[in-house]
Amino acid sequence: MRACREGGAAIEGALRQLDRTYFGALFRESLRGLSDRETARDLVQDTFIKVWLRCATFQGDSELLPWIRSILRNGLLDRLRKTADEVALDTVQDQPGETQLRIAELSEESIPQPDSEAARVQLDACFQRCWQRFEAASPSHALVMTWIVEDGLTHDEIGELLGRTPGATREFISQCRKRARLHLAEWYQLAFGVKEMA
Amino acid sequence: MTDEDQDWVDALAGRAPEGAKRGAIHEGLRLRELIQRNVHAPNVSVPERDATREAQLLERARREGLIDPSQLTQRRRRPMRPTAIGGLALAASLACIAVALTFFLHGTPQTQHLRGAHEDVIRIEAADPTALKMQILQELRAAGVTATGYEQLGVEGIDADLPEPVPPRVREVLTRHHVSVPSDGVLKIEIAAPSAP
Repeated sequence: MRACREGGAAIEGALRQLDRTYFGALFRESLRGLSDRETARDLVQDTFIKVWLRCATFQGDSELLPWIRSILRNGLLDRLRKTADEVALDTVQDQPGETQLRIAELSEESIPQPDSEAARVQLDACFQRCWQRFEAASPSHALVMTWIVEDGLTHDEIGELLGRTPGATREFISQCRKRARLHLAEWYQLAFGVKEMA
Repeated sequence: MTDEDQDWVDALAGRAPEGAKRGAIHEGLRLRELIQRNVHAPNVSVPERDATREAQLLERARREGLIDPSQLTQRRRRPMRPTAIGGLALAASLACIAVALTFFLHGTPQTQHLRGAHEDVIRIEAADPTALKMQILQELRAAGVTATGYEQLGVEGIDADLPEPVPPRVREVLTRHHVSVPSDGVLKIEIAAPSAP
Protein backbone atom coordinates (compact mmCIF):
# COMPACT_ATOMS: atom_id res chain seq x y z
CA MET A 1 0.00 0.00 0.00
CA ARG A 2 2.99 2.26 0.54
CA ALA A 3 3.94 1.85 -3.13
CA CYS A 4 0.36 2.68 -4.02
CA ARG A 5 0.41 5.92 -2.12
CA GLU A 6 3.86 6.90 -3.37
CA GLY A 7 3.18 5.95 -6.98
CA GLY A 8 6.03 5.79 -9.47
CA ALA A 9 7.92 2.78 -10.74
CA ALA A 10 7.12 0.61 -7.70
CA ILE A 11 3.53 0.28 -8.89
CA GLU A 12 4.24 -2.57 -11.28
CA GLY A 13 5.87 -4.74 -8.63
CA ALA A 14 3.22 -3.90 -6.08
CA LEU A 15 0.42 -4.83 -8.48
CA ARG A 16 2.11 -8.15 -9.18
CA GLN A 17 2.37 -8.75 -5.44
CA LEU A 18 -1.28 -7.87 -4.96
CA ASP A 19 -2.22 -10.38 -7.66
CA ARG A 20 -0.03 -13.15 -6.25
CA THR A 21 -1.26 -12.67 -2.69
CA TYR A 22 -4.98 -12.16 -3.10
CA PHE A 23 -6.09 -13.39 -6.53
CA GLY A 24 -6.95 -16.92 -5.38
CA ALA A 25 -9.19 -15.94 -2.48
CA LEU A 26 -10.91 -13.20 -4.44
CA PHE A 27 -11.40 -15.36 -7.52
CA ARG A 28 -13.17 -18.04 -5.50
CA GLU A 29 -15.34 -15.40 -3.87
CA SER A 30 -16.09 -13.93 -7.25
CA LEU A 31 -17.01 -17.31 -8.74
CA ARG A 32 -19.75 -17.65 -6.16
CA GLY A 33 -21.84 -15.00 -7.77
CA LEU A 34 -20.51 -15.18 -11.32
CA SER A 35 -20.37 -18.70 -12.62
CA ASP A 36 -18.30 -17.69 -15.65
CA ARG A 37 -14.55 -17.89 -14.91
CA GLU A 38 -13.57 -15.12 -17.33
CA THR A 39 -16.10 -12.72 -15.86
CA ALA A 40 -14.96 -13.66 -12.36
CA ARG A 41 -11.34 -13.05 -13.30
CA ASP A 42 -12.27 -9.72 -14.85
CA LEU A 43 -14.03 -8.70 -11.65
CA VAL A 44 -10.97 -9.51 -9.54
CA GLN A 45 -8.71 -7.44 -11.79
CA ASP A 46 -11.24 -4.65 -11.73
CA THR A 47 -11.09 -4.87 -7.94
CA PHE A 48 -7.29 -4.55 -7.93
CA ILE A 49 -7.55 -1.40 -10.02
CA LYS A 50 -10.13 0.01 -7.60
CA VAL A 51 -7.89 -0.90 -4.69
CA TRP A 52 -5.20 1.16 -6.33
CA LEU A 53 -7.48 4.08 -6.97
CA ARG A 54 -8.86 4.03 -3.43
CA CYS A 55 -5.68 3.24 -1.53
CA ALA A 56 -5.67 6.68 0.06
CA THR A 57 -8.84 5.73 1.94
CA PHE A 58 -7.41 2.53 3.40
CA GLN A 59 -6.92 2.64 7.16
CA GLY A 60 -3.42 1.37 7.65
CA ASP A 61 -4.16 -0.32 10.97
CA SER A 62 -6.89 -2.58 9.61
CA GLU A 63 -6.45 -5.81 7.71
CA LEU A 64 -6.02 -5.52 3.97
CA LEU A 65 -7.95 -8.60 2.82
CA PRO A 66 -11.33 -7.67 4.37
CA TRP A 67 -11.04 -4.21 2.86
CA ILE A 68 -10.21 -5.60 -0.59
CA ARG A 69 -12.95 -8.20 -0.24
CA SER A 70 -15.54 -5.53 0.51
CA ILE A 71 -14.55 -3.72 -2.68
CA LEU A 72 -14.91 -6.97 -4.61
CA ARG A 73 -18.30 -7.72 -3.08
CA ASN A 74 -19.50 -4.25 -3.89
CA GLY A 75 -18.46 -4.74 -7.50
CA LEU A 76 -20.03 -8.18 -7.56
CA LEU A 77 -23.40 -6.83 -6.45
CA ASP A 78 -23.13 -4.06 -9.04
CA ARG A 79 -22.61 -6.60 -11.79
CA LEU A 80 -25.46 -8.75 -10.57
CA ARG A 81 -27.75 -5.72 -10.52
CA LYS A 82 -26.84 -4.92 -14.10
CA THR A 83 -27.24 -8.43 -15.44
CA ALA A 84 -29.68 -10.22 -13.17
CA ASP A 85 -33.19 -10.82 -14.32
CA GLU A 86 -34.52 -10.63 -10.82
CA VAL A 87 -38.12 -10.04 -10.00
CA ALA A 88 -38.69 -6.49 -8.84
CA LEU A 89 -38.73 -6.23 -5.07
CA ASP A 90 -42.29 -5.03 -4.79
CA THR A 91 -43.63 -7.89 -6.90
CA VAL A 92 -42.50 -10.61 -4.53
CA GLN A 93 -45.59 -11.96 -2.93
CA ASP A 94 -45.78 -12.13 0.81
CA GLN A 95 -46.71 -15.42 2.35
CA PRO A 96 -50.35 -16.07 3.02
CA GLY A 97 -51.46 -14.63 6.33
CA GLU A 98 -51.84 -17.98 8.02
CA THR A 99 -48.33 -19.05 7.04
CA GLN A 100 -46.88 -15.72 8.22
CA LEU A 101 -48.60 -16.24 11.51
CA ARG A 102 -47.35 -19.78 11.88
CA ILE A 103 -43.73 -18.81 11.20
CA ALA A 104 -44.02 -15.93 13.65
CA GLU A 105 -45.37 -18.31 16.24
CA LEU A 106 -42.62 -20.84 15.83
CA SER A 107 -41.02 -21.71 19.07
CA GLU A 108 -38.20 -23.96 20.02
CA GLU A 109 -40.68 -26.57 21.13
CA SER A 110 -42.56 -26.64 17.84
CA ILE A 111 -39.51 -27.04 15.60
CA PRO A 112 -39.02 -30.70 14.81
CA GLN A 113 -35.34 -31.47 15.35
CA PRO A 114 -33.80 -34.04 13.06
CA ASP A 115 -33.75 -37.14 15.19
CA SER A 116 -31.45 -39.13 13.02
CA GLU A 117 -28.57 -38.79 10.63
CA ALA A 118 -30.90 -39.78 7.79
CA ALA A 119 -33.23 -36.92 8.58
CA ARG A 120 -30.33 -34.49 8.68
CA VAL A 121 -29.08 -35.72 5.32
CA GLN A 122 -32.56 -35.35 3.88
CA LEU A 123 -32.85 -31.80 5.19
CA ASP A 124 -29.42 -30.90 3.83
CA ALA A 125 -30.21 -32.32 0.40
CA CYS A 126 -33.49 -30.45 0.29
CA PHE A 127 -31.80 -27.24 1.42
CA GLN A 128 -29.13 -27.56 -1.28
CA ARG A 129 -31.76 -28.00 -3.99
CA CYS A 130 -33.76 -25.03 -2.75
CA TRP A 131 -30.67 -22.88 -2.29
CA GLN A 132 -29.62 -23.44 -5.87
CA ARG A 133 -33.02 -22.21 -7.00
CA PHE A 134 -32.70 -19.23 -4.66
CA GLU A 135 -29.24 -18.38 -6.03
CA ALA A 136 -30.50 -18.58 -9.60
CA ALA A 137 -33.58 -16.47 -8.98
CA SER A 138 -32.22 -13.90 -6.50
CA PRO A 139 -28.43 -14.07 -6.65
CA SER A 140 -27.72 -10.85 -4.80
CA HIS A 141 -30.06 -11.70 -1.91
CA ALA A 142 -28.60 -15.20 -1.60
CA LEU A 143 -25.05 -13.83 -1.69
CA VAL A 144 -25.69 -11.17 0.92
CA MET A 145 -27.29 -13.77 3.21
CA THR A 146 -24.18 -15.93 2.84
CA TRP A 147 -21.93 -13.00 3.71
CA ILE A 148 -24.08 -12.15 6.74
CA VAL A 149 -23.62 -15.71 7.99
CA GLU A 150 -19.90 -15.87 7.27
CA ASP A 151 -18.85 -12.45 8.49
CA GLY A 152 -21.57 -11.61 10.98
CA LEU A 153 -22.35 -8.38 9.14
CA THR A 154 -24.24 -5.71 11.04
CA HIS A 155 -27.04 -3.62 9.58
CA ASP A 156 -24.62 -0.76 8.91
CA GLU A 157 -22.09 -3.04 7.25
CA ILE A 158 -24.77 -4.49 5.00
CA GLY A 159 -25.82 -0.97 4.04
CA GLU A 160 -22.24 -0.02 3.26
CA LEU A 161 -21.83 -3.11 1.11
CA LEU A 162 -25.02 -2.39 -0.78
CA GLY A 163 -24.32 1.31 -1.04
CA ARG A 164 -27.81 2.02 0.22
CA THR A 165 -29.42 4.22 2.83
CA PRO A 166 -30.40 2.66 6.18
CA GLY A 167 -34.04 2.60 5.07
CA ALA A 168 -33.27 0.93 1.76
CA THR A 169 -31.02 -1.54 3.58
CA ARG A 170 -33.86 -2.49 5.93
CA GLU A 171 -36.06 -3.08 2.90
CA PHE A 172 -33.37 -5.23 1.29
CA ILE A 173 -33.04 -7.37 4.43
CA SER A 174 -36.80 -7.76 4.58
CA GLN A 175 -36.76 -8.88 0.95
CA CYS A 176 -33.98 -11.36 1.70
CA ARG A 177 -36.21 -13.06 4.24
CA LYS A 178 -39.27 -13.04 1.99
CA ARG A 179 -37.35 -14.39 -0.98
CA ALA A 180 -35.67 -17.04 1.14
CA ARG A 181 -39.09 -18.22 2.31
CA LEU A 182 -40.33 -18.25 -1.25
CA HIS A 183 -37.48 -20.22 -2.77
CA LEU A 184 -36.73 -22.38 0.26
CA ALA A 185 -40.40 -23.24 0.75
CA GLU A 186 -39.80 -26.97 0.38
CA TRP A 187 -37.08 -26.87 3.02
CA TYR A 188 -39.18 -24.70 5.35
CA GLN A 189 -41.92 -27.27 5.10
CA LEU A 190 -39.55 -30.08 6.04
CA ALA A 191 -37.71 -28.15 8.72
CA PHE A 192 -40.57 -26.34 10.38
CA GLY A 193 -43.60 -28.35 9.31
CA VAL A 194 -45.03 -25.26 7.65
CA LYS A 195 -47.23 -25.70 4.57
CA GLU A 196 -48.42 -23.38 1.84
CA MET A 197 -45.18 -21.38 1.82
CA ALA A 198 -45.29 -20.07 -1.71
CA MET B 1 -38.26 -4.08 7.98
CA THR B 2 -40.01 -5.16 11.12
CA ASP B 3 -38.49 -5.97 14.50
CA GLU B 4 -38.88 -9.59 13.48
CA ASP B 5 -36.74 -9.01 10.42
CA GLN B 6 -34.12 -7.43 12.65
CA ASP B 7 -34.23 -10.48 14.95
CA TRP B 8 -34.00 -12.71 11.91
CA VAL B 9 -30.93 -10.96 10.45
CA ASP B 10 -29.24 -10.84 13.87
CA ALA B 11 -29.76 -14.58 14.26
CA LEU B 12 -28.50 -15.14 10.72
CA ALA B 13 -25.34 -13.22 11.67
CA GLY B 14 -24.92 -15.29 14.82
CA ARG B 15 -25.94 -12.54 17.22
CA ALA B 16 -29.10 -14.09 18.60
CA PRO B 17 -29.46 -13.72 22.35
CA GLU B 18 -29.01 -16.89 24.39
CA GLY B 19 -32.16 -18.81 25.13
CA ALA B 20 -34.35 -16.76 22.79
CA LYS B 21 -37.46 -18.52 21.64
CA ARG B 22 -38.95 -16.11 19.14
CA GLY B 23 -39.86 -17.62 15.78
CA ALA B 24 -37.82 -15.21 13.67
CA ILE B 25 -34.73 -15.95 15.72
CA HIS B 26 -35.13 -19.68 15.33
CA GLU B 27 -35.78 -19.28 11.64
CA GLY B 28 -32.57 -17.25 11.30
CA LEU B 29 -30.57 -19.69 13.39
CA ARG B 30 -31.72 -22.71 11.38
CA LEU B 31 -30.92 -20.94 8.14
CA ARG B 32 -27.50 -19.98 9.50
CA GLU B 33 -26.78 -23.58 10.44
CA LEU B 34 -27.79 -24.89 7.01
CA ILE B 35 -25.91 -22.17 5.13
CA GLN B 36 -22.77 -22.84 7.16
CA ARG B 37 -23.04 -26.53 6.40
CA ASN B 38 -24.03 -26.39 2.75
CA VAL B 39 -23.02 -23.13 1.09
CA HIS B 40 -19.33 -22.72 0.29
CA ALA B 41 -17.18 -20.88 -2.21
CA PRO B 42 -16.17 -23.06 -5.18
CA ASN B 43 -13.05 -25.03 -4.41
CA VAL B 44 -11.09 -24.21 -7.55
CA SER B 45 -7.34 -24.42 -7.85
CA VAL B 46 -5.67 -21.13 -8.75
CA PRO B 47 -1.91 -20.78 -9.33
CA GLU B 48 -0.33 -18.18 -7.09
CA ARG B 49 1.72 -16.84 -9.97
CA ASP B 50 0.39 -16.57 -13.49
CA ALA B 51 2.38 -14.46 -15.94
CA THR B 52 -0.54 -14.06 -18.34
CA ARG B 53 -2.81 -12.92 -15.55
CA GLU B 54 -0.24 -10.44 -14.26
CA ALA B 55 0.40 -9.10 -17.75
CA GLN B 56 -3.35 -8.53 -18.17
CA LEU B 57 -3.48 -6.67 -14.87
CA LEU B 58 -0.52 -4.47 -15.78
CA GLU B 59 -1.99 -3.76 -19.18
CA ARG B 60 -5.22 -2.77 -17.52
CA ALA B 61 -3.37 -0.56 -15.05
CA ARG B 62 -1.58 1.06 -17.95
CA ARG B 63 -4.88 1.70 -19.73
CA GLU B 64 -6.26 3.24 -16.55
CA GLY B 65 -3.27 5.53 -16.38
CA LEU B 66 -1.88 4.00 -13.19
CA ILE B 67 1.38 3.00 -14.84
CA ASP B 68 3.42 5.27 -16.99
CA PRO B 69 4.24 3.20 -20.10
CA SER B 70 7.69 4.76 -20.28
CA GLN B 71 8.48 3.36 -16.82
CA LEU B 72 7.41 -0.08 -17.95
CA THR B 73 9.50 0.20 -21.06
CA GLN B 74 12.51 1.60 -19.23
CA ARG B 75 12.50 -1.28 -16.81
CA ARG B 76 12.17 -3.88 -19.51
CA ARG B 77 14.66 -2.43 -21.93
CA ARG B 78 17.59 -2.19 -19.63
CA PRO B 79 20.46 -0.24 -21.14
CA MET B 80 23.46 -2.40 -21.83
CA ARG B 81 26.48 -1.63 -19.71
CA PRO B 82 29.93 -1.38 -21.32
CA THR B 83 30.93 -4.68 -19.74
CA ALA B 84 27.91 -6.31 -21.25
CA ILE B 85 28.71 -4.88 -24.66
CA GLY B 86 32.28 -6.12 -24.30
CA GLY B 87 31.02 -9.54 -23.35
CA LEU B 88 28.72 -9.54 -26.31
CA ALA B 89 31.58 -8.61 -28.64
CA LEU B 90 33.67 -11.44 -27.25
CA ALA B 91 30.75 -13.82 -27.61
CA ALA B 92 30.26 -12.57 -31.16
CA SER B 93 33.86 -13.33 -32.03
CA LEU B 94 33.53 -16.81 -30.59
CA ALA B 95 30.30 -17.20 -32.46
CA CYS B 96 32.01 -16.37 -35.73
CA ILE B 97 34.54 -19.11 -35.13
CA ALA B 98 31.75 -21.51 -34.22
CA VAL B 99 29.79 -20.56 -37.31
CA ALA B 100 32.81 -20.98 -39.52
CA LEU B 101 33.63 -24.38 -38.05
CA THR B 102 30.04 -25.53 -38.36
CA PHE B 103 29.94 -24.29 -41.93
CA PHE B 104 32.99 -26.26 -42.91
CA LEU B 105 32.04 -29.38 -41.00
CA HIS B 106 28.29 -29.62 -41.61
CA GLY B 107 27.40 -27.48 -44.57
CA THR B 108 25.45 -24.22 -44.41
CA PRO B 109 22.64 -24.11 -41.84
CA GLN B 110 19.86 -21.54 -42.14
CA THR B 111 20.44 -20.11 -38.69
CA GLN B 112 23.23 -20.42 -36.20
CA HIS B 113 22.76 -19.99 -32.47
CA LEU B 114 25.36 -19.50 -29.84
CA ARG B 115 24.07 -19.36 -26.35
CA GLY B 116 25.77 -17.47 -23.60
CA ALA B 117 24.61 -16.12 -20.30
CA HIS B 118 25.60 -12.84 -18.76
CA GLU B 119 24.02 -12.32 -15.37
CA ASP B 120 20.41 -13.44 -15.88
CA VAL B 121 20.18 -12.69 -19.59
CA ILE B 122 20.38 -15.54 -22.09
CA ARG B 123 22.15 -14.39 -25.23
CA ILE B 124 21.69 -16.04 -28.58
CA GLU B 125 23.36 -15.28 -31.87
CA ALA B 126 21.50 -15.85 -35.08
CA ALA B 127 21.91 -14.89 -38.72
CA ASP B 128 18.47 -13.28 -38.63
CA PRO B 129 17.83 -12.09 -35.06
CA THR B 130 14.49 -10.48 -35.90
CA ALA B 131 13.13 -13.64 -37.48
CA LEU B 132 14.32 -15.76 -34.57
CA LYS B 133 12.85 -13.33 -32.05
CA MET B 134 9.49 -13.43 -33.83
CA GLN B 135 9.62 -17.21 -34.00
CA ILE B 136 10.35 -17.62 -30.28
CA LEU B 137 7.76 -15.01 -29.38
CA GLN B 138 5.18 -16.79 -31.49
CA GLU B 139 5.99 -20.16 -29.96
CA LEU B 140 5.95 -18.82 -26.40
CA ARG B 141 2.61 -17.11 -26.95
CA ALA B 142 1.20 -20.25 -28.52
CA ALA B 143 2.26 -22.03 -25.34
CA GLY B 144 0.28 -19.54 -23.28
CA VAL B 145 3.08 -17.23 -22.18
CA THR B 146 2.70 -13.46 -22.36
CA ALA B 147 6.04 -12.48 -23.83
CA THR B 148 7.21 -9.03 -24.86
CA GLY B 149 9.59 -8.41 -27.72
CA TYR B 150 11.79 -5.37 -28.22
CA GLU B 151 14.76 -4.11 -30.19
CA GLN B 152 17.61 -2.05 -28.79
CA LEU B 153 20.90 -1.07 -30.41
CA GLY B 154 20.62 -3.80 -32.97
CA VAL B 155 19.91 -6.45 -30.35
CA GLU B 156 16.54 -8.14 -30.41
CA GLY B 157 15.14 -9.05 -27.02
CA ILE B 158 12.39 -11.04 -25.37
CA ASP B 159 11.09 -10.64 -21.83
CA ALA B 160 8.57 -12.97 -20.23
CA ASP B 161 7.42 -14.05 -16.80
CA LEU B 162 6.89 -17.79 -16.97
CA PRO B 163 4.09 -19.47 -15.06
CA GLU B 164 5.14 -21.65 -12.14
CA PRO B 165 5.54 -24.52 -12.44
CA VAL B 166 6.73 -24.04 -16.00
CA PRO B 167 4.30 -26.01 -18.20
CA PRO B 168 5.74 -28.77 -20.43
CA ARG B 169 4.71 -26.89 -23.58
CA VAL B 170 6.81 -23.91 -22.52
CA ARG B 171 9.72 -26.14 -21.60
CA GLU B 172 9.55 -27.68 -25.06
CA VAL B 173 9.80 -24.26 -26.69
CA LEU B 174 12.82 -23.33 -24.58
CA THR B 175 14.50 -26.68 -25.14
CA ARG B 176 13.93 -26.38 -28.88
CA HIS B 177 15.92 -23.15 -28.82
CA HIS B 178 18.52 -24.49 -26.40
CA VAL B 179 17.42 -22.07 -23.69
CA SER B 180 17.47 -23.30 -20.12
CA VAL B 181 14.46 -22.70 -17.89
CA PRO B 182 15.20 -19.71 -15.63
CA SER B 183 15.14 -20.63 -11.95
CA ASP B 184 13.18 -17.52 -10.96
CA GLY B 185 10.67 -17.79 -13.79
CA VAL B 186 11.85 -14.54 -15.38
CA LEU B 187 12.93 -15.18 -18.94
CA LYS B 188 15.24 -12.65 -20.61
CA ILE B 189 16.67 -13.41 -24.01
CA GLU B 190 18.79 -11.21 -26.24
CA ILE B 191 19.46 -12.16 -29.86
CA ALA B 192 22.15 -10.52 -31.92
CA ALA B 193 23.67 -11.11 -35.34
CA PRO B 194 27.21 -12.43 -35.34
CA SER B 195 29.86 -9.81 -35.93
CA ALA B 196 31.45 -9.72 -39.36
CA PRO B 197 34.67 -11.77 -39.55
